[in-house]
This record gives sequence, structure tokens and C-alpha cells, in this order.
Amino acid sequence: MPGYTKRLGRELSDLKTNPAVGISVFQADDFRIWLIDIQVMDDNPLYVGKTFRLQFRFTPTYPIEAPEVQFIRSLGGEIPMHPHIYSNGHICLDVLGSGWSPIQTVGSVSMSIQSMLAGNDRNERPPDDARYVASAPISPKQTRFVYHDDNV
Amino acid sequence: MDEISDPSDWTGTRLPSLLMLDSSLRCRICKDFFKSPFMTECAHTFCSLCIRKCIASTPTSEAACCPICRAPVLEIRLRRNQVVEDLVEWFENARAAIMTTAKEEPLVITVPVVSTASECVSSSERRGRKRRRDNVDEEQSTSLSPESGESSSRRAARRGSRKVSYEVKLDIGDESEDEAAPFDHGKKPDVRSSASSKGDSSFIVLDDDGNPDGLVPCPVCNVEMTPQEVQIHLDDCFKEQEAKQANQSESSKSNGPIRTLQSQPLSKITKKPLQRLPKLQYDLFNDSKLRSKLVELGLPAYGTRVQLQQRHTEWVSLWNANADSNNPKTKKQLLRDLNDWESNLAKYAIQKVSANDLAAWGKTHSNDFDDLIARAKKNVQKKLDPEQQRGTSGTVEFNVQSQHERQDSGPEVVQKLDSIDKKISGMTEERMDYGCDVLTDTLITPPVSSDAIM
Repeated sequence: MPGYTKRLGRELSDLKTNPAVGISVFQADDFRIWLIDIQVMDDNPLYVGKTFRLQFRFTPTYPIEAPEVQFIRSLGGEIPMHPHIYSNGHICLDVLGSGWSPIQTVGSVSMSIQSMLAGNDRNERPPDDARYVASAPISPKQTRFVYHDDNV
Repeated sequence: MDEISDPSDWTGTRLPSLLMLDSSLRCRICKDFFKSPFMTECAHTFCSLCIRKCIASTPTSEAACCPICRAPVLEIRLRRNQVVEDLVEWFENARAAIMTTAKEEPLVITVPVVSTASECVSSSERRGRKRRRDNVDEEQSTSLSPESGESSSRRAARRGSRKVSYEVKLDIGDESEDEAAPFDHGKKPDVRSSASSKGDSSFIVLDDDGNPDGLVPCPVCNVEMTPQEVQIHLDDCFKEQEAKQANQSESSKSNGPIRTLQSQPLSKITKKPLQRLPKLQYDLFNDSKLRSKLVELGLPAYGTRVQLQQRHTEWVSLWNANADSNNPKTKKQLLRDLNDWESNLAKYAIQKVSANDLAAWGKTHSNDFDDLIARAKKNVQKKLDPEQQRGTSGTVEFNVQSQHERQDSGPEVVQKLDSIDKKISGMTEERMDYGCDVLTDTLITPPVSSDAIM
């Protein structure tokens, strides 16, 4: 069994036995793609009562290299409104790119994204949304995000 | 679960406090127990292979940093963490036994005692008795025989069910004793508990070896003696052992775990250490040099340059981590590991291309494709108007002309560079021709077919 599946197996059992509030595993049938549902638990009017679906794609180089993480529209889901989340589901978050560290886990990344949503009060997309979405690569990891600002 | 152990295995057992111990003996990168733990300058410990891979994956333009605190990390500054390595080894050895004991009902532990007992007692009852008994224990005589040292009240309780008192010690809220209990098999904590309970008879009988004489072995030297003696003997025994280790003298009767633990590094030092492989500055190697470097190392030398580099990087990490290991693998095994790694990567690459990516790409870019088709059609439409007036000769002319051009380009080749340029231009011409042919054909065919019908 290759190393990364062993680690993912552990993460999965951990996610299932000690689930964080608002984060649940929707689908994890293999060690390639996992779907994680996240909810923002405080009463942020932008996201209250909504469930967003995150897609994690792993490579054999996980966890040395970051997984590919994005929001997906599935079963009527939607992409949360956020100045750092493009309408195609790509997320501009440093821990998914240059800020990745192999000690991060699916749970910790989900929590980062959850808190990123919780701390937002702007009902808008990134300023270059239309341009980016028109020419975006399939994998958000191929995008070299320039972090607009760290205030949001 | 039997293969993948996890700190969370301890939740729900009688020893949940071991969760933290378990998790702190694990590498934060692979989440497994440390293998050849190495410490960074910022005092964080990782498996040798994990931290090496992590450093190797950092782009050369950036400085590698600690995965935990992001302090700069230099591979050359990594230091072996021997204490952690030993801790992991002994914890792993004992883990299964502790786990079994921690999951068992206290009742099961009393099995060796059952020979003299007959009844069961509920755990709440036991707890109640335990508390009572702790007080009693203080005043108890240090007699060895299970019966003789008991207070009258205890004896009365015992008469009904002797087992009660045996279980009692193992079913305690107190963690220090709780943790000690599972070590039954490993002998050592037996002594601690029995020492703390001052000659509690139940522990003597509980001994795994089932020593009927009430003797317990010293955890250090394995010599059997009464619990009281162990208490006194232990200090001396430790000192003795340390002195022995200093002299590296072998004692025939001492086979306890502590001796092996401390003597291990000494024996390892005598072994000739494996040589570490240096990293390569790949920019300084052209393809053939890199290939010969790989052949030199006994590695496969096929593949693209990227593959060669990746293979070499992985091999250096694998090799150096293996050199750090106390039980190094053979080169053959390492090569197998490398092969596994590579086939995994390859598998992933194939999946990536074949999977929904292409379909997704097609879907997301369908607008672009439609747009291109529409534009191409419009262009053809423009051309078609004059062509229709002149008939099909127009296209033929065009084709001939382009072929002519291509033929012309052939003899003109003088230099290699030129020929490449021409090839490229030829290719583009070809593609253009092809596009025109197809489009004009489709547009021209209707009259032909209508002719045929007529």
C-alpha cells in the first residue's frame, strides 16, 4: 500500500470518528477524489443554512504536495459568494498553493475554508472573476494566484 | 484497523489518556509512528524519509522550511533523534498488548485468578470495594500470602468471592495505576503497582506467569522476588545496569527490556554506516550525463528528463532515509520501493488524462470550439462565393499551389535550422490545406451528388 493512501486512510477514519462541526464527508470511495460538505456554523447571512461541497483531488505525492481543492456544483449545490472564490469554484487561498505544508490535512484545509467563509461579509466575487473563469485551467493548482489582499 | 493504527484507537478504551502519547510519537507528515526520526533545528521531529522528501520537493529557488513552524530547514542540519526512536520502538512493541488490555473488560484479566475464585462482581461494586481497600492497604501487613495480610472486613468479603479483590486494582479511575495495569505482560509496571499497593496480595497472584509462590520478576534483571524486595532491589538493579553498560560487560542473567534498550545504540555504532548520496544540481547535467549517473547508481535510465530527475530525487531521499534507519533495507528492496513509487505516479498520470478531465475540458471550452467552427465556416463562405462562379477549379488551383510551395521548400534546405523552419511552415501549410480541403469538399459535394442523382 503506497504511503499516501495509508495516510489518507487515517485521515478518513479521523474525519469520521471525530468530525468537526459543520464538516462532513459526503463521498470518499477511493483515494483520488473526496467530496467534503461544509457549512458555516455562525449566523453569517451570506451562508446561513447552506451546504457547500468541496472537492479534494489527491496525487501520489500527497501530502508532500497540496491536494487540488475547489468547490463544485453538484446536486443543486452552489459556489459560495466570496471575494476569493471564483464562480467556477476555484479558491484563492494560500494554504492550497504556496502556503501548503505537509502537516495540513483534509480536515484542517476544510476548516481553513470554513473560517474563511465565516469571516467574510462581502457578497461579491473576485474582481477578475469573468476574465479568470473564461481562461481558467481545469486544475486550480495550475493557476498561480496573486493574492489580492489578505484582509478578507 | 489492524494494519492502520491510529491514535484515535484509544478513545473508548479504558486508557483514553494514551491518545496523546500515541499521537506525539507519530510523524506529522505521514501520521505513522516515527521511522528513523530526525529533528530540525527548530526542534520538530519527522521521519527521515518524510522530511527529506519534503525538502527535496521544495523548488530550488525557494528555501525549504519546517512543515510545522516554517523556520528554514537545511537537510545537512538535520539531527537524529535517538530518544524518540527508542520510545517509538518500545511503545510499538507494547501497543498491541496495552490495547488488548485496555479494551478488555476487567473481568477477563482476572482469568488466572479464577482458579481460586468462583463468582463475578459488578464493576460498580468493585469500585466501591477498591476505595475501601486502598485505605485498608495502607495498614496492611507486608505479608506475601494472599490470605494472611487481609483485614477482617476484607476477608469477609473475600470469602464470598475472592476474585473481587483481584479485579479491583485493575479497574481504577486513577490513571497512573490504570496505565500500569496493562503492562501485566511486560512485567515492569507490575512492580510499580504492587509497590504502590504495598504488598497487595492480588497482584502477586495476578502475575501473568501465574507464579503461585507470589514472587514477581524484577523488570530489569528478571530475577524473581517478593514485591517488597523488588521495590528496594530496583534502585540497586538500575545502578548496577548502568555501571554494566558503561563497561559494556555482558551479564548472562540480565535480559530485561531496559538492558536491550540501552545497549542497542552501542551495538549499532560498531556497524559501518551507509554512505549518504549527495544531491545533484540537475542544471549542470545534460541528459546523457544524467542517464549515466542513474546507471552508475543502478537505476533505470529510461524516460524523459523530468522523469529522470524525479527518479533521482526520489532515490536520493529513499537511500538517505534508509541509511538513517537502524534496520536498513537491502538495495533490492529499495529499488522495489522506487519502482512502486514510479508505477503509482504513472498510474495517476494515465488516470488523469483518461478521466473526466478531457470531457470537462471539452465542456468548459465548448463555446470556444463553437466560435472557431463558426469563424471557419464564415471564412469558407466568403471564399465560396467567387469559387462557385469559377467552379471547382479554384480549389484545385489552390491545392496545387500549396503543394508547389512545399516542393520548393525542399531543395532550398541548406542548414538544419532552415529545414526545421520549413518543416514548421510546411506543417502549418498542410494544416491549412487540410482545413480548406475538408471545408471546400463538404461545400462542393452537394452539387456533385445532385449531379449524380440527376
